[in-house]
Amino acid sequence: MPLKKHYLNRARITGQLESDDPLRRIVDAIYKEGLTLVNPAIYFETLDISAVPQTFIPGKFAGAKRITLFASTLGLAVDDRIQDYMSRNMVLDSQLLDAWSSESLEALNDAFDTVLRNENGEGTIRFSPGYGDIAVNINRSFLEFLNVPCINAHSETGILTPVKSTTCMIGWYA
Amino acid sequence: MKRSEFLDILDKKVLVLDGGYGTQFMKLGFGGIPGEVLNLQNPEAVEKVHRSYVEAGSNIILTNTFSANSLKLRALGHEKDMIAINRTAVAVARRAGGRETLVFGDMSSCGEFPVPAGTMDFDACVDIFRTQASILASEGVDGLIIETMSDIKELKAALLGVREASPDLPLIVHMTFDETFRSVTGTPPEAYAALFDDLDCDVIGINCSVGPAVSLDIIRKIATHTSKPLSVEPNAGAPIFDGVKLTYNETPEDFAMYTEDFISAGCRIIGGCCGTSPDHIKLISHFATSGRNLKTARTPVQIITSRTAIATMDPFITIGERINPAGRDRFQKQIVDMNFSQVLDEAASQKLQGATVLDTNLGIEKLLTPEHFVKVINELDRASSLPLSLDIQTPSMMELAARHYSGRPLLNSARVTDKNLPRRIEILKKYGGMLVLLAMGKEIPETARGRFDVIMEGIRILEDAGISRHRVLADALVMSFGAGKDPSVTLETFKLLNEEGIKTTCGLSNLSFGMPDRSYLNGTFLTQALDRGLTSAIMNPGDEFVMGCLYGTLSLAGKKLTRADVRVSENPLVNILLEGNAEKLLKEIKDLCNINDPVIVSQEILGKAMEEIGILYGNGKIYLPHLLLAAQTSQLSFDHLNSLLAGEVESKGRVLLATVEGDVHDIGKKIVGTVLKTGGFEVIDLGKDISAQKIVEKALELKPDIIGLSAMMTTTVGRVSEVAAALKAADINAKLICGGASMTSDLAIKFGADGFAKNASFVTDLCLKILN
Repeated sequence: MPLKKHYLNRARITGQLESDDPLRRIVDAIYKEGLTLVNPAIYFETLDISAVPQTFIPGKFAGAKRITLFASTLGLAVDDRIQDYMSRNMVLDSQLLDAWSSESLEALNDAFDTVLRNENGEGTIRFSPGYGDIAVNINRSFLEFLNVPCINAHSETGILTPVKSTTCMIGWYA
Repeated sequence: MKRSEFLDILDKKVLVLDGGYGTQFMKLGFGGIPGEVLNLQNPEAVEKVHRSYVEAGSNIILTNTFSANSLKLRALGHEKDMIAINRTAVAVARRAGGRETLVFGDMSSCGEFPVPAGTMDFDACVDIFRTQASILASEGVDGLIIETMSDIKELKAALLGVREASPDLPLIVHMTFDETFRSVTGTPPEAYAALFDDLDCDVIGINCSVGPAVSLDIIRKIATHTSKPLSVEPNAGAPIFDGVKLTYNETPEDFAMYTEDFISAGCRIIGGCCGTSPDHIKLISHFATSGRNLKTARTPVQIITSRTAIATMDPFITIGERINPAGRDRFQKQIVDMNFSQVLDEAASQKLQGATVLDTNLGIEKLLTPEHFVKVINELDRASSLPLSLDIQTPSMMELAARHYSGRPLLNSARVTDKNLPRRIEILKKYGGMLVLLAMGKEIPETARGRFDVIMEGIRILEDAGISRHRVLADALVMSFGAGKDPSVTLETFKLLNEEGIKTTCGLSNLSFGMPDRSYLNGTFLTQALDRGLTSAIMNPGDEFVMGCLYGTLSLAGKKLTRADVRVSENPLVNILLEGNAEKLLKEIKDLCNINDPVIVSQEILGKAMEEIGILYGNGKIYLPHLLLAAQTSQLSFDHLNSLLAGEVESKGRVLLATVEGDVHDIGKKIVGTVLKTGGFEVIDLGKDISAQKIVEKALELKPDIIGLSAMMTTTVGRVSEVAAALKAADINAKLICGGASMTSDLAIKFGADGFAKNASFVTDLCLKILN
């Protein structure tokens, strides 16, 4: 579950929503609806750095001895509902659900990040393809390498399906 | 734990309270035993539930003593075990909580309301809470909580009792409000917050009745009227019964998503009430410790309140002066004779004329006893009066009136002398309220600067005693123009005080004492005073010229005066019923009987007026105290009509009411009974904790058309099913209806009932539909 303030910030809603503000009811309803739609899953593997394809390893991971690769997703239902809202011109609802699910995925990753760091000790930042020196279009081979069954990546753009999915990695110094 | 230590913790972090106990006991298979009795019969079960909350992240757990006061335990047949139950509860909670978890002693309603909402003596109510609090305190709890209180006066009694037993322990107070933002006896959250901001408690909050979304709305209303830390324990939504077990519709995730909102609104303690579980608490704990946004201090809005009404300072408070027998010998004699009919008349008429507060002066106090002051306070409270200004000279009588008052009063008044002001400060500190501070010490200063200095000296003394200047209405002293006093001194004093941000008042009519054309003098002076920042006046709202000057001057300044919600009906009898003036109503009824058949008067005139009262209540136009008042007010007239008719009046049906076995809550059922009587039904109330067998016996004997069952607790709702089966087995055809805090429409159908009323406002319609 994401912090509400993060959800609201991402949806560009600032300040307190008063009780008679109709937006508050929608914001809360979307939060609750999101909880019923998600089917979160994480696929991961921790490997010696020599076992990881060189094309996956960012320069920032210099000195790392092992790497955890992981892919996370909220599932397809939330994508479908966002599309459904869009098709019915319910733009506010779709925008809120999009913001909520983005923050939910972030919360999922943060929680898993904490678990990994507790187990592996000192590590690098959490890194995703598409930033820095690793192109986003490695996503397809990244998912194939991890053998992830329920997340697809476009071979050229690297865009993930379900949309609310991520690929990440953390390097470990010990 | 010291109160200052507790408040220091709340400055730095949010504390997580525990969740529901009833549903957890049910899960463990103890649904049939009163929760408090479990402390003695199966303390291991109680400890197990405590531990589950500690493991979920509760920083505070509550002792299993919610209903362990002498009155409730008497109803359960366990009064003799009261000390043992409370002592064991503390020991069990302490064992489960270990060193890290705070243990707070839990207390709640006696099950009866003090006068006038109920029949219990106020001081007896104080005693009940003092007794329980002293046991819990002596057993070493870290603090105390009084929760799920639906009557503001009972909560005030509870607080006074707790503070007599334990002045030094942290104290949390909670009321419960429904989705209309009112307590059962009609109090809005703002009025509750304003009074308890003054009283000697540390944290103000709410619990039960509603889920987190509505709780948040209520908390935000409370937050504007107190600077104290807030606390909240919502229900997990509405109960759902699948035929075997009871669950609630708010999942832990649904529930926890409001945690940040509560913190932003000022909550420093968050937990759960009915239907919440360790899973709910675990998630609350997660959100309470991540992403905290602890707000800075709030400045409460100053209001004067009664049980049901609020008078705001902005832009002006009109304090009606007519409850004062000075110069009216007959009125004084009535008061001495304990006849408060004219007091109620004056209250009602001034409300219609636009007063927002009522000055209450009973005249020559040497002629009066303490009972006079208690009675008049209760009579005005019963009549759902506007907020009161307690214009009482004798300090002990002022204290008594403040003690029995159900709101945040205006104490009228104090002079700035060593003897006079400290005594009023004592009363303010103990019972709350605002103070009319006179611009005089032993003498009245002749100059505006002199009067201003006296007021500022008084404010300094008040602030040294911990009372904010925002609680002061400074009276710049209007003197008699006819006696040669210069009104410009008073006007200049208003100006000086206004520049300092001090709220002001005056006795307006003093200006024209002994003069002709009083209205013109008073009205003109009022206009000048408003221009200099006057914020209230004790005045005659029946003087149309003066009131016109008030409305006109404020309008020209771009301010709108909000008048109290007056005259809710075009039917004059309805308004008399709502004034609570039984004698006036009886006179009207007797007059009507002179020109109508008594049957017509009873059924078509008074009966219809009572029906309209029921509709007004159902529509939320009036509140429960109004409804109870009208029912009570009508009794004298109905008795008179019945004596004329000798059994000619037919009821709409006979209703048998009972609270199911194992449940001792019967306030709601009594309210339902009153509403049904008001609607023309014959009502027989069997009482509380009534077995299915007894209900069957009485149904066979009395042959009711409808049987109404009440079950408040999650552990007793299932009894309705037993009664339904027993009635069917006995071939009783009466319709069965049910209600209560834990009941729902779905549950009622599953249990075999013919109808369900969410609250008393729906019950008359339900009964009429069922019988038709």
